[in-house]
Amino acid sequence: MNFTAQKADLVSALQKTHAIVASKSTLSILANVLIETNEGKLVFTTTNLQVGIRCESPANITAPGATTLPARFLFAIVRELPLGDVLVEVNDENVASIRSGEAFFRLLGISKEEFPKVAEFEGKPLFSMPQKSLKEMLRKTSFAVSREDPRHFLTGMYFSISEGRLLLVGTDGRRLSRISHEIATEEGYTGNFIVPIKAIEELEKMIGEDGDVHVYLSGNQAGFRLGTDLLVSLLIDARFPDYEGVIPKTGAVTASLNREEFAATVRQAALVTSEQSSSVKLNFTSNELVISAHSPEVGEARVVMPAKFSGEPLAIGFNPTCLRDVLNCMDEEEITLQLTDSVSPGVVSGEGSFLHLIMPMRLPEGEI
Amino acid sequence: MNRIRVLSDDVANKIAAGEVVENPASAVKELLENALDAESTEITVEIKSGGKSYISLADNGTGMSRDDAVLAIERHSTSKIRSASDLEKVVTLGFRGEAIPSIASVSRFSITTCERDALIGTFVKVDGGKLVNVVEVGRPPGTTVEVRNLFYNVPARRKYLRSVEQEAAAICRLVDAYALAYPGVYFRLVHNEREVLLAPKTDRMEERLAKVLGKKTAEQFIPFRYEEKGVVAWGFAGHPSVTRTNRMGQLLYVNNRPVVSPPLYYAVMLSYKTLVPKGRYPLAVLFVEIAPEFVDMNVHPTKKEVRFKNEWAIRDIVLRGISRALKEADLAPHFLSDQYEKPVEAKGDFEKALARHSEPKAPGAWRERESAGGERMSRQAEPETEAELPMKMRRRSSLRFLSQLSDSYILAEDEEGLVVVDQHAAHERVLYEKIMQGLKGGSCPAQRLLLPTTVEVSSGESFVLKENAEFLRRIGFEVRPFGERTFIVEAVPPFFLMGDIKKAVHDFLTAAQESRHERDSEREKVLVRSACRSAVMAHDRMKAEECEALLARLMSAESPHTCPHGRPTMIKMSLKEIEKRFMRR
Ligand SMILES: Nc1ncnc2c1ncn2[C@@H]1O[C@H](COP(=O)(O)OP(=O)(O)OP(=O)(O)O)[C@@H](O)[C@H]1O
Ligand SMILES: [Mg+2]
Repeated sequence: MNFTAQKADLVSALQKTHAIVASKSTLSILANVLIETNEGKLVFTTTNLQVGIRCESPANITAPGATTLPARFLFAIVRELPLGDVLVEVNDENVASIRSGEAFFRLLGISKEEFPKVAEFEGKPLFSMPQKSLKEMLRKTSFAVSREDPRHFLTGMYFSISEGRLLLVGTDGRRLSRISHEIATEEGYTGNFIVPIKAIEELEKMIGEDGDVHVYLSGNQAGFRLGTDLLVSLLIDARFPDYEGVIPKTGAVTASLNREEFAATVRQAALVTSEQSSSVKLNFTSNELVISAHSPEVGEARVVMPAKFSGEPLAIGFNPTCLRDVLNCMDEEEITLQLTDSVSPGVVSGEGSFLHLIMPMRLPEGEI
Repeated sequence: MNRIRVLSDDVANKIAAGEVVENPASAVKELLENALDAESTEITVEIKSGGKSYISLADNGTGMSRDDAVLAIERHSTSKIRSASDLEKVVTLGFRGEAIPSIASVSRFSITTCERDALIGTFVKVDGGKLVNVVEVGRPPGTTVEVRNLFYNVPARRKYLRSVEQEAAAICRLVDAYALAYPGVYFRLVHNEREVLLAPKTDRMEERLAKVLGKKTAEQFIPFRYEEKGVVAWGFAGHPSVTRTNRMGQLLYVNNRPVVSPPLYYAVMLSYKTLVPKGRYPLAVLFVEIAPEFVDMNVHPTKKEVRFKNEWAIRDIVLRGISRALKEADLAPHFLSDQYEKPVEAKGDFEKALARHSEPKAPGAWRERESAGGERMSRQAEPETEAELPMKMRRRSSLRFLSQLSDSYILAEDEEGLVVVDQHAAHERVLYEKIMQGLKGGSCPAQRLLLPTTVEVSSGESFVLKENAEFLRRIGFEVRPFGERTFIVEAVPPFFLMGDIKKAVHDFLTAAQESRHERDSEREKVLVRSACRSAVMAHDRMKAEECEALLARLMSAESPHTCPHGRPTMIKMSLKEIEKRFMRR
């Protein structure tokens, strides 16, 4: 296999694919990137067996073929080369010679036969939607997904399709984000699946503002096609819990709050809390929200902000990081916080379909 | 001067009756106690064939008059107590007037003795309890007792004696134990003409400690001294990294008498509770000094058991004394130090024999007694001068993060060198102290769960769970019955979010059942430990800042060097050790 390609094109392809390459893996082939030629294009594929990424770049192919080369070394080398043409020749022993200007490198590859198969998704996608919309949906939900949990369904994003809409739900057991958007799909199609957060994180890096994303489903894998890029992920084999049952129907207290002010007030109160596991207390009284916190090692804080609210006065404890995460992902000037009592979830919502639940924390004894 | 009297039947009947001499070691014990009671400063013990064929004990004590030497062979003849009320405040090791007659009746026995100001001494020979002859002999002041062919006339006993090696090991252990308690007395032990122990007089307790237990072991000890309500608990606490599979390394003394005392063993165990692994026993040399009225020595015919008037108070005082010392000491083991290659310095045949035949039960066959001698006072002052002791008492320092190893260990450095921290164990320790801290203030934070988890338990467990629900609530787990044998977990401690709730509940139940009979405060600790363990996961890839935060929290913990289950959280390799390995020194 021989080809000549622009350094910039190679860098952009390798950049996308090298993120999921295992730094240490028992399978040395997984440290490699599969490079194939296809009608005037190079196709790069990497996989860690859970997630695979494939992307293309233009090249002048003088001899078609395929090989696998160590992804990290190849990326490091190409990145250092001067702008311009990069000439790559790979012999039958999978030894690659890389030339650019005065620089010459030789890299030892592995036969493409050893590279695990990464699914191709041909035919009609399950659904399509603008990349921009999915990106927005992911931004508002992925932060709530657990990064590690023995309950595997909590470490993935729930995709549910029905009535021409896609619903995304992410939760880590103490908070939950839900959002929906219309999609182009086969009429009457209903279904759902859970995509691991590791794949979602990669998808968020790859997804852009323009064009559509086409989503495929086949067996226990999902594919996300973004232009010529493809991300393939194994699905989490679990049933997503009945989350709808936990969404309170009506709140006893409904407060309208200025989002930025609310976030700033929480941040100030949280200054005296020393750890992630700490809580801030929200105390709603007539037209005022008092946010207070205290930690035995640091001290106390008490900050007041105006709040429009209806219902009986109520005090409730929340993790300040959770509060700020949700406030930061929203764009509205005013947000709504609905509360039932001090042990039921708080519901944060804005203008669209977005909904966020936060479970309260127990307030220290003796405090109301 | 005649000192010995025969006790009245009335008093004699109050003395715990039973077999006094069971084996050669118990005979040696009795003779040793007599020598110490006689204010000797030099004691030589000679034995042959593990004491089965020959025991001799020579001292330089007060000696006995001719009349006393003869009277001593009678039952209940003693110079140490007179009345029943004396029994309540015994200050000597002996008090029954039973030892000599008991030994003399089962052996070919003789006493050679001379009083300090006498011109001529006495030799008394007894065979199987029968007086054979009494003659005048020359002897420097002091007493020699010889015991030949022990149990020659009690074949049943003789048959059940253990091997020469085992009997010798028991005697060696016994002499060691007394030698530790009386550093002001010269001790020499000879077996089959070979010297096994030679401990010169010293006024430095740690010198005696090194002599008896070996220098390396002694250096690992952490001295402690604690006084409360007139009770003094002092001694040397072993380094938690050096443990045994039984209690033989724990030497306990009450008023200088070696004892077997369950409450004291328990106190030692509690002090190390989170510092040594389950089933391992730390070394300890513990002296309890208490007014004689508050302790009853007359419990068992062999005098090895004691009964405290206020057992719990004593236990707590010892516990506080040792825990305090352990908290202050730098306990991180050094992983290149010799102790890891050979755990205990072997001293000789006996020590080896002892290691081979270590009895799983108690610290040996002794029972002792304390003397009112002056060396006790001087020794008492010893541990005050801790600064001079060669023991490790360095204060702890902070750790600087270097790197993470295999997603399980944090590499750090302190001013001495490299420190390897087991992040899992470190995390457990930090959580444990955090929860214990939270409990002091009432309850710990709890994060309510969006998706409560249900847990199914057996009907027995369901009872235990209900019983402990309030305690669980206080540490942050809100668990509510949800049908017959199903419970629903609605809130967990915030750090537990990623933990395995079902497993935690089951582990908790196991811990609760196992610790059922413990005192509340103890049981709580067991339960919290179980919760911490469930919360922490091994193989966590951690960011540098997370590692740094963990190190900082660990080093500000009260007991940073071990996890709550007693495994070490860190090991050290000092620059010195590293240089040695690279042969730069
Ligand atoms: N080595 C010794 N030096 C001086 N006196 C001794 C010595 N051994 C024994 N005696 C005297 O003999 C007495 C009897 O000793 P024996 O050991 O039988 O009884 P005890 O020590 O009084 O009580 P116990 O039976 O509890 O040991 C002692 O009270 C003591 O006066
Ligand atoms: Mg005696």
